[in-house]
Amino acid sequence: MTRMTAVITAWSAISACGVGRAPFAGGMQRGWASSSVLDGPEPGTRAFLASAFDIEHALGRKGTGSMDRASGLAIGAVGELLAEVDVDTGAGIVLGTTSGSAQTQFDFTRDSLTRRRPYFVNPASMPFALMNSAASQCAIWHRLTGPNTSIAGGRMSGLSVLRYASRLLTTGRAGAVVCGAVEEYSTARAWLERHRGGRRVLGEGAAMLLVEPADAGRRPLAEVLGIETRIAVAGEVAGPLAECVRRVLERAGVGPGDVGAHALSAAEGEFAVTESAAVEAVLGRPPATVLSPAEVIGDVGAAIGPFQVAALLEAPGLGLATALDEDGTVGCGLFRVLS
Amino acid sequence: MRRVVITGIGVVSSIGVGVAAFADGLRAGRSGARPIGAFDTTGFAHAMGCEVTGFDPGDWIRRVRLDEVGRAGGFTIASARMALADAGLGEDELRRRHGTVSIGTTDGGSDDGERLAATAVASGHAAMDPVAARRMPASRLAVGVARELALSDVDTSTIATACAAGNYAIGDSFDAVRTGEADFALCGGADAMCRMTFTGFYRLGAVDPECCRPFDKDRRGILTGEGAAVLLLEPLESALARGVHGYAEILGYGLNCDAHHQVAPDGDSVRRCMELALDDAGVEPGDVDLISAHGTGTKSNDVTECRAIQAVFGPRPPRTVSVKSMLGHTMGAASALGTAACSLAISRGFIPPTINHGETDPECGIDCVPNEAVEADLRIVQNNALAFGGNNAVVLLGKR
Repeated sequence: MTRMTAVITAWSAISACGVGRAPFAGGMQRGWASSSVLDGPEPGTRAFLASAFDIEHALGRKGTGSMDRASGLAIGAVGELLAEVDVDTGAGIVLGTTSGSAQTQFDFTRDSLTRRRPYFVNPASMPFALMNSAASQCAIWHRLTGPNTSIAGGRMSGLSVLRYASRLLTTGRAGAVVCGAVEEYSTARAWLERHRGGRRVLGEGAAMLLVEPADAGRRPLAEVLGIETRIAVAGEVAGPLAECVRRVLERAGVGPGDVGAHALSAAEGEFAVTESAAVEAVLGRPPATVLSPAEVIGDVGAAIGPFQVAALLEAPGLGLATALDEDGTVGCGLFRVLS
Repeated sequence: MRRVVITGIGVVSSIGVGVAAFADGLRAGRSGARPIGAFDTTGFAHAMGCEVTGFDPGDWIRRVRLDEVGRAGGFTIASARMALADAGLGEDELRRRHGTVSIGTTDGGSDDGERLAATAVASGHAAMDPVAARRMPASRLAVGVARELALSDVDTSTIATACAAGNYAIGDSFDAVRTGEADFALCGGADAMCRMTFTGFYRLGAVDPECCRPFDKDRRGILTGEGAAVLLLEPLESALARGVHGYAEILGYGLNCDAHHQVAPDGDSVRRCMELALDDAGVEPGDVDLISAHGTGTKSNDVTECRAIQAVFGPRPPRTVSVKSMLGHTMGAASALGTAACSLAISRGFIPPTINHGETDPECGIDCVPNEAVEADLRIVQNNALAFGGNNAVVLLGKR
């Protein structure tokens, strides 16, 4: 249970749609983005790469030689956000991830195993192999000295970072929080997902939301009315997810009839069906607007959450974002999007 | 805001499993250092580490399938079960309350990840073990506790803020209980020995060939370690209502980011973090009786941290110890084990020593309580955590 007065005042995104808000909003309106053909050793033949974003081109050569792609995408997305709003240097950064940069971790181990000595590794790549690389790199690049937290939340990351950020605001530990999630596409991640049974077309990207107290003075785009998450301890996820939806509405004092939009975390398959069914079960009807960013930008893993919220920002009124992860966590967020 | 107390502690460490063995180890100044057996160390000139031995996850895990739980996950579940038993709370009682489970980690399932990478290098990606791939995501640490205890109505988060992650998880859980969002928290940190971490520090010349000797003029670096600590936090009123006194009260915490350098800590920012924590706790520097330092035993960490301590506490700061001298650097578990050690120090009235100590580095300029524990009535204790990326978190505990 989390009751909040946090508001979202700005956002940014980098994905297969391109760099910035307009390309993503355009992609969602159109309903598709271009995927890239893969010809490497990966299991799939296509992926939704953020081809418009090149680390060296966007950030320069200094300090980026060993940088993982996830950190680069995050720095780029935070840069897009901060280009448009003035944020105090004490602002926090809270980012979600699955496991950080699987490719950087894989390469480090491969080098250790295949070079003449096991310690002939690139020491510069070590900090980029850690899961806090993206958030701490964003702080370094953009000089933000507030709370800086990485949450390994998988597909629940979007909800987890919003809850964590709201708590920072409630307790006064930060006056504003850049809150988002990032996932890179890589051969290592593609194989891990394949072995986990994932058959969805992978994508990559980063999306950021600026979260502030309601009285911060900037014009809000949306209010965060509540976040509810549960653990499906019995294995079955539809029931616990519906329970989350019921509770988030009840605690915010919102009637089921007032909800107009639903943003799904999954693109297709069992999870997407479950998300839709849970929301319809509580609302008693399908919502007027159903948004599925993953159908446009691919399976972006941990990054999907803030993309769902970004998609909802185009639909004024009350909107739900639901999430499911293979680890058995379920949840939803309720937002009032202002026109 | 509610007051928050630590009512249960669970520990898996290289110097003892369970709160009693851990406390005995701290008081005796036991060393967890031994030759690393968790991975192949062929080709390294030296490979000492603080490994957990004789731990069988099957002794603790009842509900979750064992092959779904990695080594760090097993440490976490065991520690959570111990913390619950230690607090005298049943699973049924927890299920009636809304709670939070927050576990900090540096590597998550990276020990599985590097074995998968080794398979891919040797036999190709297609040969990777799908079971290991599924249990690898770090989120499994916190979710594993909830699934094992059949807690459906809990918020879970696995905090991946590297070597300060334990304090991040404890601090956020403190806030969740303090603000009334949660009625209990199971929080702490966990990590398993990773070849990658060892190799990285080794390559940087920051692994001591023999033992970890923080603040010593001849210190040569860290020993990598593993383990977990999980604390049960409750609001003071509900602890008192069950007639439970608790180990210590969490008085406050602070967190910030250097925003300066990936691996070199920034002393001024570390100073600010300690000041944030003191301010949050409403404590004056002169009231702090003991500091449990991040104290890794590397040349640069110890000097930078001690100077920051002196900037806050003056030229004669409170006694400042490093439990990493005994436990090694257990990464995401480190500050959780540190907070557990501080809680025991307060409740049992002793200061854990900094072992392996010859002569204090004059540049550190602190009393590190060398080699032997001392009896002490501790009222307020501070636990520091610093991480790569400039992520700092400091927790303050008070006597109950």
